[in-house]
Amino acid sequence: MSFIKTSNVKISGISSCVPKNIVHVSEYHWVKKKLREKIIETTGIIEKRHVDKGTTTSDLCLIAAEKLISELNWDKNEISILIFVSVTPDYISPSTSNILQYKLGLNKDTICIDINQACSGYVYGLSVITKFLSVENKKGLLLVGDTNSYRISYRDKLTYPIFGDAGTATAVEYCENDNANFYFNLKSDGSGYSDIIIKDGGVRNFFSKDSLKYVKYEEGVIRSNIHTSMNGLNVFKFALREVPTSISDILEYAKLSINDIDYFVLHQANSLINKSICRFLNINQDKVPNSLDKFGNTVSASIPLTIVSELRNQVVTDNQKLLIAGFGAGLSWGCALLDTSKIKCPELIEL
Amino acid sequence: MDVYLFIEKFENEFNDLPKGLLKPDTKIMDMKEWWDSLNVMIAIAFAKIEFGANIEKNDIFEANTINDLFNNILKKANTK
Repeated sequence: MSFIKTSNVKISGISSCVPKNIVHVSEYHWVKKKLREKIIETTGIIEKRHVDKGTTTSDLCLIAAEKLISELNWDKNEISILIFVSVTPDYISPSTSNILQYKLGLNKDTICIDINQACSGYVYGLSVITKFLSVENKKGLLLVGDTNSYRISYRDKLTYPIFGDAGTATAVEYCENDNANFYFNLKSDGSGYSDIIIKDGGVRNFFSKDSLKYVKYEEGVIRSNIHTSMNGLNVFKFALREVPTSISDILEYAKLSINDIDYFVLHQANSLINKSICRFLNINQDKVPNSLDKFGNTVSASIPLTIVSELRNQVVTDNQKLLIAGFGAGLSWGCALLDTSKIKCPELIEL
Repeated sequence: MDVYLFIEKFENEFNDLPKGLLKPDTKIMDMKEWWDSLNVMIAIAFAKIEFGANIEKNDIFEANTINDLFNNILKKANTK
């Protein structure tokens, strides 16, 4: 079963935090100017943000969460669940959600869960937290982000110009009388697990001296086994093959059409993928917010970051029906249909 | 769609491909330098958007000419 429907729950707010440090793709001197220009043209990524050394994903999420809790005037004792979604946790163990529970001052009754999902992570995390809160008269925090700048090699033209850092917080709460439903369509294909992978550091391949060795794979692609390795062509084909079908299927499941959706918030992988999906499905580009130019691919954070940076006015002042779609490492992909009702959405925070 | 309309639409997808350069009998490998990874992706996206075809890199490079590429895409049209 890949479809999930959830009721009696709502999103109360979304906030995002990005590092102040801006990295311009036009200054990526590892590749020639002509290729830099073509990367910018094809991916749509002009600049992105990188954290300073020592700042982690959880630091960005913590700031986003504190701001959101404050704007919502939430009593921290009412928060019963904290989910942290990331592929760049603070440690292999313990769970970063436990650390965040402590740093946020949440009480010991809080359920803490880490989810290791990348670009589909926001959709997956939202499915878990909404399902939990739909039967529990409580509040929850979904903290989603990544600092992939730690995991990319400057000498890898396939990954370095693409990835940026961000942390986000989404406040979700039980809402008995709310008529809105959440619909999810979640999918997996582990046969493509090696298409986006960090090979060393787990127990399959322990970290060793060799993990740090730089290897040349092709012209302009030099990295070690602690860096993200991405088969861009396979990921691109996967996205074009699966995401349009997934979007069509969830609309059919919810008995809606493309015209019923106010905005399609797609994972910000690159603009060629997103424009192709929209052209294939005949979705008006005006309904598809884009934050790639400013932040690049921020992995799990890209959907909530795009809502905050591109749709803030719309979600604060009006009700919106959103279709969100995440896709990436795993391979894993998922869409969700959700209604927002004048949510709290603080201005983008810069750290 | 015939091959001439295919060529017109195909050329429109690329900023670095002069309009009118391609003919049905243009050899794919004569453009070897031009076929970088980004242009391969744009071609794959074009096949999806225009024909609903999920093509592979091999569908491009196993084609001898542009006309062969057109036929390879047609064979996979509207595949899921």
